[in-house]
Amino acid sequence: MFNSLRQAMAWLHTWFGLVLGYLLVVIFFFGSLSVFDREIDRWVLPETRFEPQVIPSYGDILEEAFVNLAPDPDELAEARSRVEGELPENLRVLFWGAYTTHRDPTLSIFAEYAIPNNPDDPYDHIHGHATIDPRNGKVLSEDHLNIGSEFFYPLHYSLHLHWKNLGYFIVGFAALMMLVALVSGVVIHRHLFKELFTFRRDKHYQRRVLDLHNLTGVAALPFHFFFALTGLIVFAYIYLPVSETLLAKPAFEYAMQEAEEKGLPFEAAGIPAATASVDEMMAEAKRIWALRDAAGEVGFLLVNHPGDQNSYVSVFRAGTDTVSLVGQGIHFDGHTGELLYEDPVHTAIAGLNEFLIGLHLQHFEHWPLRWLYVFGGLIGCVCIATGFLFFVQKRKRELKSKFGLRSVDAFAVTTITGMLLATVAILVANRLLPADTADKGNWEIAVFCLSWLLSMAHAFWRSAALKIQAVSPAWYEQCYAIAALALSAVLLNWISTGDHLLVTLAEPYWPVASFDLVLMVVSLLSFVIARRLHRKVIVAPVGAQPEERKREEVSRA
Amino acid sequence: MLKLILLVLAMGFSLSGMAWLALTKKAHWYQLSGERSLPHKKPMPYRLLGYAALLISLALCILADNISIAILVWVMSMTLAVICIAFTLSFRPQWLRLFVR
Amino acid sequence: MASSKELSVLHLLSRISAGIAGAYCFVFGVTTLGITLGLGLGMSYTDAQTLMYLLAFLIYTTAFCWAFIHRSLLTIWLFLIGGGGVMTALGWWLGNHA
Repeated sequence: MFNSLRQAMAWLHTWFGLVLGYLLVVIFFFGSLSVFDREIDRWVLPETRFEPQVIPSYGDILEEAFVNLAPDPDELAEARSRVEGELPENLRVLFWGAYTTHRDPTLSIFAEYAIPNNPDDPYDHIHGHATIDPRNGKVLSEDHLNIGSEFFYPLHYSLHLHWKNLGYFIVGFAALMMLVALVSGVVIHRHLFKELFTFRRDKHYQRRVLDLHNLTGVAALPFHFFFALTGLIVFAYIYLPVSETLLAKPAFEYAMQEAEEKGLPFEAAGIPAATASVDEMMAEAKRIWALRDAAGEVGFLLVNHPGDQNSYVSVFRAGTDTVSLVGQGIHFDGHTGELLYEDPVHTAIAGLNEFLIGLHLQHFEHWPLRWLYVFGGLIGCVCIATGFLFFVQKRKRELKSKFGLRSVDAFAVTTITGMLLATVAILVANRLLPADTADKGNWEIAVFCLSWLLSMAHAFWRSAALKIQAVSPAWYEQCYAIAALALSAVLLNWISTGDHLLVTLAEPYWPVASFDLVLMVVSLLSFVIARRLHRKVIVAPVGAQPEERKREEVSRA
Repeated sequence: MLKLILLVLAMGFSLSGMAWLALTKKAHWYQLSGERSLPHKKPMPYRLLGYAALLISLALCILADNISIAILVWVMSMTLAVICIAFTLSFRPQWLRLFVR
Repeated sequence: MASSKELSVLHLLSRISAGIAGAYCFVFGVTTLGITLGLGLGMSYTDAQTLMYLLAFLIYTTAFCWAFIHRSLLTIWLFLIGGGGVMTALGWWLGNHA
C-alpha cells in the first residue's frame, strides 16, 4: 500500500491522529484537571472545605457508617431480575471498605453485597457506596456532585459511557492510537535531536505550527508515551478479560490456593461472630510499618466477611511518599484480632506494575510533580491542537468544498473552546444553584452538556464567515465568553461562600485559593487571546491573499 | 524547606543542561551570537557541561525524594526545561548569554 | 470488474480492520497463551497475568503498525487473526486441561 516505512507512518500519523485527535484532546484536558480533582471538589462543595483527615476511628465512626450503608438501589433492582425467587431483606456483606489519601477531607466508604440464587453466577454481587465526614460520621448528600473526582475524572477515563464498558473501550482505543501517533511521529520526524529546541516564530504560519507541534510532542515524549501506556495498563483487566473468561478456571484455583496459603478465608463460614477492635488492628499495623522503617498512615481498610467467624481485616499503608498507591498490607483475624499474614515484598513484576499504575493515578504527596503533570497534560493538548491546525492549513486549498473547511474548523472550535466553555459553565452553575436543590448534580451536568452543544451550534453558525475572513469569529467570541464565565465563577465563589482570595490566601486554604487563581489566569489569557484574534480579523482586508494578510499582521504587531 | 531548595536547584540544573545542549547546535548558536559556525572545533565542552548538569539535576532530585518519585520529577523537569529554552531561544536568545564562556 | 479506485478503498478498509481487530485478536492470543506458559514456568497466576498486561499494549502498537507496513494483506490477516486464534485456542486448552 505504501512505498516506504516513512510513508506508511506519515499516513497513519495524519489520519489516525486527526480522527482520534478530537477525542484525545478531551481525554488529555480532563486528565489534566483530574490531577487536582479533589481540590476542585473543595471549590464546588463548600461544606467540605476543611483540612484532609486521617482515617477515623472504627469504633466511634466507621462501624456505624458501614452498618448504615445500603446497596445501590439501581443495582438492587437489576439484581432482582436475574435471580430465581426473592432476595433476602438484608443482603450478606462480602466486605466493607474505606479509602483515603493525604488530600481527602471526606472519606469514601463502599461495600459489596452477595446476591444469592443466581443460576449463572454463584459469586454474583452488587455494590454500595457513600461519602462521609470523618470527623463525625455524617453522610454527605448524594445530590452534591464532586465535580472534580466524580465528573471530570470519570469523563477522562470512561466518557461516562458505562453501557458494556463502551466508554472505557473508546478511551482505550484512543490511547492505543496515541501510542501509534507517538511512534509514527518519531519515525517521520527527520531531525528529532537537531530540532529539539526549534521554534521558528518568524516563519510562515504552517512552519510555526509544525515547529510547535514537534516541540510539544518531543519535549514531553516520555510523558505522553508513559501516560498513554500506563492508562491502558490500569484498565487492562477490562480490555483483555482473559481471567474472567477463557482462563477463569485456573484464575479461580489460584485465588483459592492463595487464600489458603495466606490463611485468609475466601468464603464466609456462615457462623456469626463478634468483631475484635479494628482500631487496635490499625494501630498495630502502623506500629509494624514504623518498625520496618516505613511509618505511615492507613490508606485502605477492608473488613472482609464482617460479623462472621471467617472475617479478616486488611490494613494497607497509604503510598503518600512513593509512587505505588497502597502497600505493605497487614491482615488480621476479624474475630480474635491476631495477626494472620503480612504481605511480602513485591515480586519484580508486581513492583513494576505498582510503579506504572501509581505513576498514572498519582496518590503521592508531591505538589511540584503534580503541577508538572498538569503542565505535561496541557502540553499534550497543544500538541494535538497544533497537529490539527497544521492539517487544516496544509489542506486548505485542497478541501474541495467550503463546507468541508467550515465543518473541520467548527469541530475544532467545539473541541477546544467549547470544551473550556462547558468546564467553566458547570462551575458557574454550581455556584448559582442553591445548595439544597434536588438532584443538583444532574442539573450541573445538564448545564455542562448544554453549553458544549450551544458552543457547537455557535461554531457552525459563525463558520459561514470563513468565506470572507481567515479566522472564524466563533474562536474569539467563545474566548470572550470563557473569559467572562471564568471571572464570574471567581466572583460567585466570593458571593456565595465569602471565601474570596484574601481570605483563602491568608489562612491559607490552598485548594480554593489556587483554583480561584487558576480561573483568574484562564480569564485573563482567554481575554488576551480573544482580543488578538479579533484585532487580526478587523485589520485584514476582505478578500486579501493569506500572505498579504500576514504582512499586515506583522506590521501591526 | 530543604526539599524545596533541592528541587529548585534541580530545576536550575535541568535548565542549564538544556541551554548548553541547545548551544551545541549551529542554528541555536546562530540565534544567540549571529555567528554561522560553532565556537569550538567540536562542541565538546558544551555537550559535556550539558549532560553533567542534567546528571547533577538527577542527583538533586534523588536527594529530595524517594527514588521512584525522583525519576518522575527529573524527567518532567527536563520537559519543562526544553520548552523554556526553546521559547527563550525564539523570543529572547540573548538571555542565554550567561551560559557562554 | 471493480475499478482500481474501489479496490483501493476496499484494500484500505481491510488494512484498517486488520490493524484494529486483527491486532486485538493477536494480543488476546498472546496474553492467553502467555499466561499459561508463565504458569508452566512456575510463575504465580498474578505475576503471569501482570507481565502479559505490561507487554500487551506494546505488542498491539507494533502489530497495528505492521498491518500498514507489510505488503501482503493476506499474510497480515493470516498472521494476526490466524495466529491470534491459534494462540488463544492453545492457551485455553493448556490452561484448562494441562
